[in-house]
This record gives sequence, structure tokens and C-alpha cells, in this order.
Amino acid sequence: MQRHNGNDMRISKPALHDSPVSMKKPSVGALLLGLIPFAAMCFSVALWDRIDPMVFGLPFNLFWLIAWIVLSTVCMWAAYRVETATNKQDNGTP
Amino acid sequence: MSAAAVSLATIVVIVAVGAAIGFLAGVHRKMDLEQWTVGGRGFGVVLMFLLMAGEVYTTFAFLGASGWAYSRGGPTLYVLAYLTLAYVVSFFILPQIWEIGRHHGMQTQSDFFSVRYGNKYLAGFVCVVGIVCFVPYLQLQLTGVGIIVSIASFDGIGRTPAMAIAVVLLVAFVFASGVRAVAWVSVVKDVLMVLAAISIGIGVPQIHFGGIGPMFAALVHSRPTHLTMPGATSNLGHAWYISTVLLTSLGFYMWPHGFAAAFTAKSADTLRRNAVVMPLYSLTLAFIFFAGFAAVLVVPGLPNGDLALLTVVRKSFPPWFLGVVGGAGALTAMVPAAIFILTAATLFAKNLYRPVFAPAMTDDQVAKLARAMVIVLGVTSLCLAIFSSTSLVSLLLTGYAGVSQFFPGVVLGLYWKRVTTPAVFAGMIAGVATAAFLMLTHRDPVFGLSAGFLALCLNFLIAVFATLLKTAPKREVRRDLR
Repeated sequence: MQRHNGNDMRISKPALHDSPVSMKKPSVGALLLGLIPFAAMCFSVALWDRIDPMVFGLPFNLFWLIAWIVLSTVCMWAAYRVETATNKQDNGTP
Repeated sequence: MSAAAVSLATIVVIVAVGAAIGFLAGVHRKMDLEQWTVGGRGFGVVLMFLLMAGEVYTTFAFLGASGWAYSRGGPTLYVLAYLTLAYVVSFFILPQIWEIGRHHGMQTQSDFFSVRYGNKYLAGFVCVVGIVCFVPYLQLQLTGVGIIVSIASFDGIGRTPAMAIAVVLLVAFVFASGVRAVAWVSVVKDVLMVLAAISIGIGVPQIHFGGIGPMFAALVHSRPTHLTMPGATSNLGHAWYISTVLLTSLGFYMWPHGFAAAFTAKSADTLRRNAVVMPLYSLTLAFIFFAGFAAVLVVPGLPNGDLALLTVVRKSFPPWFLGVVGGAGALTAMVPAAIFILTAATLFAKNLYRPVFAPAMTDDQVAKLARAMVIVLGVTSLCLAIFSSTSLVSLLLTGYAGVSQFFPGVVLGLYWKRVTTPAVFAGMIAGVATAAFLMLTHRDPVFGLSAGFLALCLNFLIAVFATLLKTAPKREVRRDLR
């Protein structure tokens, strides 16, 4: 439950809160798709930071990152589809 | 004609064509403050792509990334990861920032803080930190131009005169036409940059090793540890990689110019589509890495890694090609530098000087003051670039440690209505102070982690907990007891 005291109201004075522009949070699906590149290119570094097996003559870590630059674009394209689909549902307009 | 004359003449032609395009872009438009700084908010996908690419692919990518591939090895791979992930982050914050920006007529990052948090001191603080963080970034670009010209002239022209020429040109075209000039010079710059990167990345290994595969095989054979982390360093391991990638990918759009670039878009959807496409642009960097790694064996023992790319090009290609690469590199330094100067000048005039010293100033006067500031900033950064020498990557990471501290304020401000102004302000001050202390006392990395990342964590924790304590004390107590 969210408490509202006097203090809270004073702080939430900024125009943003009264504005008709409501900040729509990104959908969960899009967020999950966005997490995939982070998992692949950042958190899992210990798993792929090695030289062998070399792929197309590239050390494995370099190959992995290059492959994920392309795959990240695919993930974000999917996220884009998810976002535009939910936006249409919510607004009734594209 | 001597080799030096050929390569220098080529550079001059390329820079002149770039600058001419910049001037022409501004000729037939009436320049009010909004047109000058955010291009009248009318940029579509193509122009946005160019503008953002122009800001992103700086001398850092060109000379700095290859320099680290040469001198540090494996840890430099963080660049490929962070550029890609920065766009992933942008997908979730830029469209929202754009919406608010359009609604409130925002032009700068500081405007965002002032509207969202309703506190001119917080906005002023953001503004000062932003301007200060530009200093190392600008210095990086000017140092880059100095390196390019001195190598292309076969050490005939010193770095200092080269940097002075660059600053004069830079100030001239920013002064004349603002943000639109920058977007159009980016066209020339990007085409050249991509062509240069690919031909170097394929050509250098081909000439010296007979291909990229044989080059890596030779490198693995002679320096077995160079290509993985920590490479040629002792303390840049996996923990450093993860913390640095997080710091820089979250901080990427916290640079005041990147943030403000969001306002130039035509729609929020433009920004989303950009976030999908932009990572592909970083594929170019892979080629730059190939050249940097090849340089390890071809031109070993350079005193400064940042010289590696151009030295290996000079050794492998005819002088005119060195000139093309140098010209692309010089534009690559000057386009972002122009944007930094433009952004910092606008920030100073509109968000610092007017609200604090002269609330009665008109927009016209602000625009004039901003133009005067362009000159002041150009000269200041030139002086700093002349009197200091740090590796390009270190300069960039110093700036990142600072600007990333805006991230909690931005993301909590967008998505968490309860977050309080004092909490965000306290977190940001703690973050900036911690980052400044650790960077300036040369304690980075701390415990194998990026210093800026530690400061960012502290910042986030303070902002979140101070908000929770202030707005919901009872809930907080219950959680403690549990």
C-alpha cells in the first residue's frame, strides 16, 4: 500500500506528475528480450572468454561478441514488435 | 611530392570537403535557439542514425580501441559489448525521454532534471558535472587529431599546431550552423570511416600474414595470453569487464549530448527503431580491432598504443591511403568534438548562466552567449590537450565514471513516481564524489572492479533507500524486523 503524507505531496509537485504525458513502462516481454544480450555479452564472460575453438579464424571470444552484435539486433527487433503491439492495444491507435 | 605532402594534402582535402558541407547545411535556415540546438525537432530515422553515429564513433573508437587492442589485448573487447548493450538500454529510456521532452519543450539534459525534480540546484549540478565530464572527452578528440596529423606528416608537423588548426575549424563550423551541420558532416565521415576501417581491417592482416585467420594464429602462437582477459594487464579481468560494460552501457546516453540528441528525433518510434539498427554499426569496430591486433606483431614496441593503428597503416599502405585514413580520422574527431562543444555551450548559457545569474535573458541573448561559449570552450580544451597526456581509453572511462552518475536520477525519475528529489540529489552527489575521488587518486580499478561502477551502485542504493525511508517509514521498519 502506498502512503501519502504531506511531505510526499510537496515533493511530487513537479509538472511531470500533472502532465497528460503518462510514462508508460516498457512491457515485460520487451524487457526480457532486452536482458538476453546482457546475459550473452556481459554476465557470461567467464564462459566464453577463451581462444579455442577458433571460428572463421577468429578467437572464440571475439567471434562470440561479433555474433551477438547481430543476434542482439534480432532480440531488439523482437522487442520492438512486442512494444508496438502493446502500444496499439493500449491506445487503439498506432 | 614527398610522402608526407601527399598524405597531408589528402587529409586537408577531406577535412575541407567535410567542413564545406557543414557550412552549406546551415546557410538557408533561420537559426533560433531551438533550430540551432535540436534541429527544430524534425530529424527522421536516417538523419538521426547519422547524428547518433556521428557522436558515437569518435576518435576513441578509431585510435583508442585499436590502441588498447595493441597495448592491453583481451580487455579491449569490452568496447564491442558496451556499444551494443548501450542501444539495448536506449530502447527502454530514450522514447520516454523524448515524450517528456516534447511535452515540456526540453532542449538539454539539465531541462529534464529541472522539470522532473523541480529543483534548480539539482539541474545546475547536473549541468556542471556534464560540462566537466566533457573536458576529458574533448581532450580525447583533440589529442586524436594531433596524433593523426603528426603521423601522417611523417612526424613533420607537431601535435600542438595540428590541434590548434583543428580547434579553429571546429569552432568555425559549429558557430556557423549548429546541429544540422554536424549531422551532415557525419555523412561524409561515416562513409569514409566505414570504408577505411574495413580496408585496414582486412588489408593489414592480408599484407603481413596472408589473412585474418593466419594473423590470429600467429598472435596466439607468439603471445598466447594477449587475446583473453586480463591480456597484457594485471588487473583487468572478468570482474572488471562486467562492471565496466555495465557502467559504460548504462552511462552511454547519460552524456549530455547523447541525451539531448534524443530530443532531435521526429518521434519516439524513430528512437526505438534506431535502437534496433544501431548495434550493427559497431561491427565496423571489429575491423579496427583486427588492425590493432595485427599491429602487435607488425610494429611492436610503440611507446603509446594510440599510435598503433596509424603506424601500421603507414607501414602497410601508400601515402595517399594514409591520407584518406587520416582524413576520416580527423573528421571522426571533429564531428563529436563539435557536438560536445555545442552541447556544453548550450548547457552553460541556458541551464547555468540564465537561471542562476540572469533570469531576464531572452532566448536570443542566450543563443548569443552560447555562441561565445563555443569559442571559450574550444580554447580551454585545446590548452588541456596540449598540457596533458593520458591514453585515449582512460580519458573516456574518466568521463564515463562521471556522467553515469545521472543514470539513477533519469531512470528512477522516468519510472518511479515516489522517488524524491533529496534522495536523487544525495545519491548523485555521493556517486560523483566517490567517482572523482577514486579516479583522481588513481585507484581505478578498485578490487578488480571499475571505480565508476562502484560509485554508481552507491548512488543507486542511496537514491532508493532514502526514498523508501522518507515516503514509507512504517513499511521499512517492518521489513527490517522480518
